[in-house]
Order: sequence, then structure tokens, then C-alpha cells
Amino acid sequence: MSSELVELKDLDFVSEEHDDARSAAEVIDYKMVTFSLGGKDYGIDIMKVKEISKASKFTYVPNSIPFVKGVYNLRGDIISVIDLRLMFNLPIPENNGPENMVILRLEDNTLGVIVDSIDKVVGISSEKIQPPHPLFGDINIKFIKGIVENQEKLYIILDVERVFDQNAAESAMQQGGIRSTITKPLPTAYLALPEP
Amino acid sequence: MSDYLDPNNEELLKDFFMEAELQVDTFEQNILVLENEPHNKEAVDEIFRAAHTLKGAAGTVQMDELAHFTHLCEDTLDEIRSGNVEVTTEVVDTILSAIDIIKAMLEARSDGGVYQEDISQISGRLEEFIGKDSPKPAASAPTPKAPAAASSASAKEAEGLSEYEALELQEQCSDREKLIFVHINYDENNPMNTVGGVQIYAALKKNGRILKSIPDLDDLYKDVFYPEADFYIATEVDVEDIEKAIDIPDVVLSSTVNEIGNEIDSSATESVDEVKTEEPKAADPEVETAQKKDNSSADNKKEAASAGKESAKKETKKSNKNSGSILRVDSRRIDNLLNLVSETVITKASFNQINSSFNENILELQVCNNNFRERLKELFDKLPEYLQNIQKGAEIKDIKADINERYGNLYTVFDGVESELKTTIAKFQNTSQSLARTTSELQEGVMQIRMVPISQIFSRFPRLVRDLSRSCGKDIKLIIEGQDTELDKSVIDDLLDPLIHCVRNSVDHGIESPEERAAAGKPENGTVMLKARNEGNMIVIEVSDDGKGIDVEKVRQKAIDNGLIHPSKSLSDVEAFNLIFEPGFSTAKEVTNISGRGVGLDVVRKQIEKLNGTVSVYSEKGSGSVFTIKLPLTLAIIQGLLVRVGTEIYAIPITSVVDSHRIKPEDIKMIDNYEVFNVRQDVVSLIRLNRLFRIPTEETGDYYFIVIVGSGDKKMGLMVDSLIGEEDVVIKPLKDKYTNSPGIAGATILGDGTVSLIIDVSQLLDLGLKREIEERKLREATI
Repeated sequence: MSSELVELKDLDFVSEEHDDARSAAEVIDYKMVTFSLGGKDYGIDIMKVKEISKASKFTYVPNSIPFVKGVYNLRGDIISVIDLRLMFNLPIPENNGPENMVILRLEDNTLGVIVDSIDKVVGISSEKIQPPHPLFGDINIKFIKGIVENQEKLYIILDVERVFDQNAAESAMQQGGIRSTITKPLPTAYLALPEP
Repeated sequence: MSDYLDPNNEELLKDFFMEAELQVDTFEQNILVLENEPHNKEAVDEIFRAAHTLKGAAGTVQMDELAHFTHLCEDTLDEIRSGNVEVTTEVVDTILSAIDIIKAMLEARSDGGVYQEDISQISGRLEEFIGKDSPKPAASAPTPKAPAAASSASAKEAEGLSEYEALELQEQCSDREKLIFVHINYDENNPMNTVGGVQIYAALKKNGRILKSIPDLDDLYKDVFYPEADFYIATEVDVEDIEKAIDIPDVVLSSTVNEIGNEIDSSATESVDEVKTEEPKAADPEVETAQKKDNSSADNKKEAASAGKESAKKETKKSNKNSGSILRVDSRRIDNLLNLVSETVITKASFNQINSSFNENILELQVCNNNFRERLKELFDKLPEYLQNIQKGAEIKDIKADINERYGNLYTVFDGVESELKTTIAKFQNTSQSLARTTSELQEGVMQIRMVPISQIFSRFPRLVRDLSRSCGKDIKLIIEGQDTELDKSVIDDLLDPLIHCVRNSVDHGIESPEERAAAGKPENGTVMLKARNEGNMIVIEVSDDGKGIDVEKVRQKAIDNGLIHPSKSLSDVEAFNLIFEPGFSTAKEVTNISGRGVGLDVVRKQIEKLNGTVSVYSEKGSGSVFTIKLPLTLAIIQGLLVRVGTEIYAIPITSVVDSHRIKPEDIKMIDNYEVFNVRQDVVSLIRLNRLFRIPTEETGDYYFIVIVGSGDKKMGLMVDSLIGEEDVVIKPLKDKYTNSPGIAGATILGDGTVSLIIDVSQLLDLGLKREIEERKLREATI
């Protein structure tokens, strides 16, 4: 793909880029949907995002993992909805209105995740993505694709395929032991590893 | 090779396997018919047709071993047809085992491999019937043993050249030219068919030098039609281009273009059977297919040589194939659906129209309203004037008349709008009614598409019963009734195993040996009946036999021995019969290869229950037993009882609901820390759904609602907040592991768009039991 073509396609972001003198010459080849969770900024590859929506009524699924908010009717398809804040053990801000939901189109599944607030689409150059630092953040490092800086904001890019890997979910379920105990401890597989 | 004959064409292969399965089924069924009536000419013809079609199809997709073997069967059948071979049990047995081989070959092929077992025994026997004793030449043997060596041999064989001729032709090519072999089948139906040969000749000549042609060029110019012709050309052009050049519609039926490789130069081909193609004189179909087969055999072996590369490709193909099943649907049903869809499209258009009518009505209403207000204001303005007039002594009558004259039509200002609005509303009602009708017809139509006749699985039983009765040494007749009964495709697929189990059971345990039967005064040949029929919303399938029946006492004793029931428990006969569905229950004294391993009938019950059905048995000692399987018509839509727990609404499949009650809190009694309540004579234990599902609700209220649900012989009462009603619910699966929760079978979407979960009763009962045990342990631990 020629760079001209890319610039044409990403016209929306060109103005932004011009503000930022350093990246004026850079090629935007990675776009992500950004949102905030527990006061930090996160991003998800836009190719994995089907749509965003606000929703309030979820159907509770009994005896599921605590971070499974329930199921939701997405125009006739029933999808699972996961509260990322519960999954990563982050504080949940007071919110009486509908929840902000990002609907992800993963390889073998479609599901919705609830976040604090959805920001915008940010285009970056994939060269600028840095590997994640173990000291950084609240999330297990293996679910982080990298860190990127844009417009003086630091975005943590989530590797959603790994976060919602079906096998991992199973092991998390086992760890949580949801079926055998009456009080429900949170599965820890998704949290940051303790520092050595 | 042209595109549509590409042996790796997935579409083609899929069609082929489907077609082949059908043909094999016809083949098998008619053989069995033939066994009973050896002179049934129709059956022979039917079999012959099936075998022939299968052979042709196998040739098309280059499954040479299959084509060859079917050809052998076909020959045998031809002998039967012409009366040279008598239909004996031996013949039928041989042909049936031949069918098994064909099935195995198909299976191997559909898994991406080639059937490798030794078939010489069966083919030898088939050949005996034909009276052919010469073994087939090695080159066309169905299982290539040395593919690499065979490849060059058969490559040449296909091209109908002797080694010398090939070399000679090779020498005529310059360094940059390739030797290419072109085989053409001409279309006889072309009125100008005699010119075809020349057309092709001209086309080829443009692309290269023609070294040799069979028939000769001179013969081609004579006004004679040759059904096929071979050309050898030296050219620099690619094979594909040649293919394009000779693809002349209406002239060429099919063509084969092959490059004759350099392996001809290598002299490792001494063991070659020289099959020189004679000048074709008449369009003998046998010769034609034989040639085609040889060609395909050549390709096939080349393929085998490069198997490593292919295998990866086939792996992916395999996984693709398993992803969905194919449904054959009567095209009339599709047409019907299309009609309905076009009707909904029309309805949509009328709704649009109604929409604009409503808009017009509103505009008109506004106009009228304004008009009305203006006139009213005028009247009010005028009132003081009228009052003055009265004071001046004008006649009230006159004033009244004046008002009437001027403002009398105020009453009717809205009349026009009203009638128009009424018309629009009537139209709206009509249209929405017709929408409702079409939608329900559409729903039914789509369901119909999923319906397939049960004959699809019933057709397997004649063979099964025949084989089984042979191996048990019993003479058993199978009667099938109601094979046109239709059932949902997904149900059909899961029904075969349990049915086979039941039939095996009847054959093995039910029917006695001929001696026993004679001693009991029954006819020596036993009868097994397979019946299917509709009964309301259910399908009822019965497997019955006229055998010895079930010995109630034996069952009872066995149940007591196994600890399934207490010795003092009194059981009705029906209850006792149904004990045989318990796990580990077999009254057969010895284990046979067919049944009696004690894993049988409980599996049947489990599988049938998975389909939301029930199975029961009734028997009369000495005169036989009947297994009755009842199934819902479809799995996609079920009747559900909607109940509310807290703010959540759940659907319970109505087939699992026994009844429902409204009880007062004081009706709940405690027995051994379980909550129970009395329904007439029975004591039913209770599960509080809100506690089981951990839904926070207030457990206060003057009444509780109890839904008694049952799975098998287990029964429990589910306590819910309220009952909402019965409704047809469309089952949607919950796909991922996050929502894979015990006790939940799926979800459905309610009228208001919210999702409601469907309860899996048998899982729920297990879950309830487990939870109960856990809680008790917890309590004991705290004491």
C-alpha cells in the first residue's frame, strides 16, 4: 500500500497529526478504539471492534464467572457481556445510566465488554508501539500487546484475542471455583502478576 | 483438464459424496428387495442404474479404485439382469459385502485418503459370477502399490502410445517445444458434427505443430463423425492456452490436455502393458468410459506420487466439510417460501403507503383544526354583536337562524378527516393482519425446510435386521410403517443410534430362536415392526416385536439385586418394565456381540431425553414388547412456560413441566432439612430457584408458585415468584464458555427484545441435588 493512499484513507487523522509536529511524516497504519478503565487509557485494534453501543438491560446468567455481566440481544444474536473492570479488578465508577459497551468481533466469538467511557478512534504508526513494561498497570502483562503514546496520552493496547481466549476462560473458571463454593472469590488469572 | 472436472473442486466433491451416498442407499435397498423377489425386474434395473451412475460419477472425480470396483459390480448385475446368474443368498451376500467396500472406499475418500484394504477376495468372487477368470492388468489395479513407477507407465498407456512411438514423437520436438497430448470427446448432437474434427485440428494447428492424430487427418476430412480423437502436438504454448483454444462450445463435450513428460525418455518402463488405442469406429459407451478411466487412473497416480503436498490441502478440506451438513429440500418448499417472502415485501410496501397516508391525515387534521379554530374565534368575536342585536330587540329566532346559517357547518369540519382516518386505520389493520399471517406461514415454511422424512434413517434397518438375524440364526421379518413421517433434521441425526439400539435389542433379546418359537406355538419367523406416526405436536416411533417379551419378575429381581429398588417396594408392571432403562441393567444371561453389555438402554434414554423426548416400554410376556419413543417435532422452537424470579424471566420447556401450584408459605414442610410439600399423595421436594441461581429477591409474599418439573422418574418443585404464561420460544444457543452455565439450555428473545434463559430441567435437578449436598456438608462442618 502506498503512503499516499494511506493518507487519503486516514484523512480524519491528518489534522491531528499536523498538530503533533514530530509525527507529521509518519504513516498511520494502526487504528484503535480508545476507552478508559480505572482512570487509565486503553486501546483495542479497530479490526477487532464490531461496533460500540450503550446498553442497560443485561440478562443475568446464574452461576457464571462474576465478571460475566450477562447476555445481551444484539439484533437477534445473543452475545455474552463481560465487565472489564470486574475482570481486571478495577474500581467501578458510579453510573446510573446505560453502560458503555464495545462489541468485539473475535476469531471465534462475538462479545461485548463494558468499560468506563469510550473515547475515540486513534490512528498511530505501528512502529511507535512499545513492548509492555512489567511495572505498568493492573493487567496481566500477557494480555497487553504494547504501549503507545499519542497526543501526550499513554494508551495500553489490549490483546483481546488473548484476553478472551476460550481456553484461558476455562482455566479462570476453574481457579474461581464458581461451582463449588457459595462465596465467590474473583479469579486471579487476569490480574497483574505480583512483582518478583 | 478443464475446470469443471477438477478433481479437487470442493463443490464437485461435496455433490459427489452426497450423490454417491444416495446411490449406495438405493443399491442396498434394492438388493434386499431382490433377495425376497429374485425376479423383480424393476429392482434389478434400479440397482443397475445406481451402480452405473456411481461408476460414472467416480470416474468424473477421478476416484479410480471406486470406479473400477463399481464397474465390477455393474458387470455382475448385468449378468443378473440378463438372467445368466441366479439370485442366490450367496450372490446377495457377496454384493452386500461389495457395497460395504464401496462405502468404505467412499469414507476413505471423504477423509482425503484412498482405500487401501485388500479387495481381491470380493472382486474375485464377483468375477466368478461374471465368468471372467483373467486377473486385471496391474496398471489399472485399484490400489497403486508403486505409484512412482506406475505413473509413467500409465501415463503412456493413457496416451495410447507404444514406447517407441512416444520416443519418436519426442524426437520430433525441438528443444523449446513440449509434446502435448490432447484427447477430445465430440458432441454428437451437433448438426455439423462431422466438421468438429477439422475445427479442432485448425485450432490446434494455430498453437503448434501437429505430429500425429488418431484418426488421421485424412480421415477427419471425410464426412464421417468420430466421437473422439487424440492429437499429439509439439508446441511452445502452455497447456492452459491449448485448453482454451480447443474449448469450442457445441463441438467439444470434454477434453483432456496433458503434457507428455520427460519421464518417457527414461527407459524404466519395460513392464508396461501396451494398450494401443484403436481408431474408434463407433461410439461404444463402454469403450469410452474405459478410456476415460484409464486417463483418470494416470492422473490419479500422479496425484498419489505428490501426495505429500496434497495431504495438507486435504486436511483443510476435511475440516471444511465437517463444518455444516447438507439438507436436501423439495424445491416446492423453497418456492413456497419465496412466495411468502414476496408477500412480505408487498406488505412492507403497503406499510409505507399507510405511513404516508397517516402523514397526509395529520396534515389534513391540522388544516381542519386551524379552520375550526378560526371559525370558532369568529363566532366568539361575533357573540357581543349578537347580544347587542338581542338587546336592540332583534328576534331570537332570526339570530338563531343567522348563527345556524353561518356556523352550522362547524360540526362537520372534521367529518372528512375522520372518514379518511378511518379508511387508513382499516387499511393498517388489514395489512398488519396479513403480516401476521405471512410471518406465521414463513415460520412454518422455514420449519418445513428442516423437516426430512424419517425414511432417511428407517432405510438403514432392512440391512441391519438382515445381518443381525443372520448372525443370531433367527429368521426375522422387518415391517416398516409410516416412513413418510417428517421430523426435524437435527432430531433425525441424533435418532439413529438409539433406534438401532432398540432394534438390536428386539432382535437379540426379543425374538426367540426358531426352535423356541415353534415350541411356543408361534410361527418360526419373528417379526420386528418399526412404526412412525404424528401425534399432535409429537412424533411417536414404535419398535415392536412378537418375541418373548420382558419377564417382569426377572426385572424386579434384578433391580433388587442391583440395589435399584427396595425389596419391599411394590411396583406396577409398567414401572417395572421401565427399570430396564436404568444404567447397568441387562437381563440377558450372557453377553453377546449384539447387546447385553448393560450399556444399552440407559444410553437410549439419555439420548432421547437430550432430544426433549421420552422413551417407554410395554411388554406382555410371551407375545412381545413395544418400545415407544416420543419426540417433539422440532428442536428449534419449543413451548415454554415463562416464569419470573426477581426481575429475571425464565422459560421452562413445557415437556418437562408436570403441573403448577400456588401454595401458602405454611404448606411448605421440612423433612430432614429439605423443604417439601404435598401434592395429593406425593411428597415433592422443593428448589427455590432464586437461591439456586443466587438472585436476590424478597422471599415474602402470601403465596408461592411451584412448578413441578420432571425428568425421567425424578420430580421436583421449582419455587418461582410468579407464572407468566405459555409461549412458543425460539431456542438460541449460548455459544461461549462464559455463559456455559449448568441448568441453562439456551436463551430466547422475548417480545420486548430482552433475553430470557431457557432452563435445562434434568441438569437443574442434578445441580439442585449437588447444591443440597454441598449445603448440608457446610452445615455439618459448622456444627
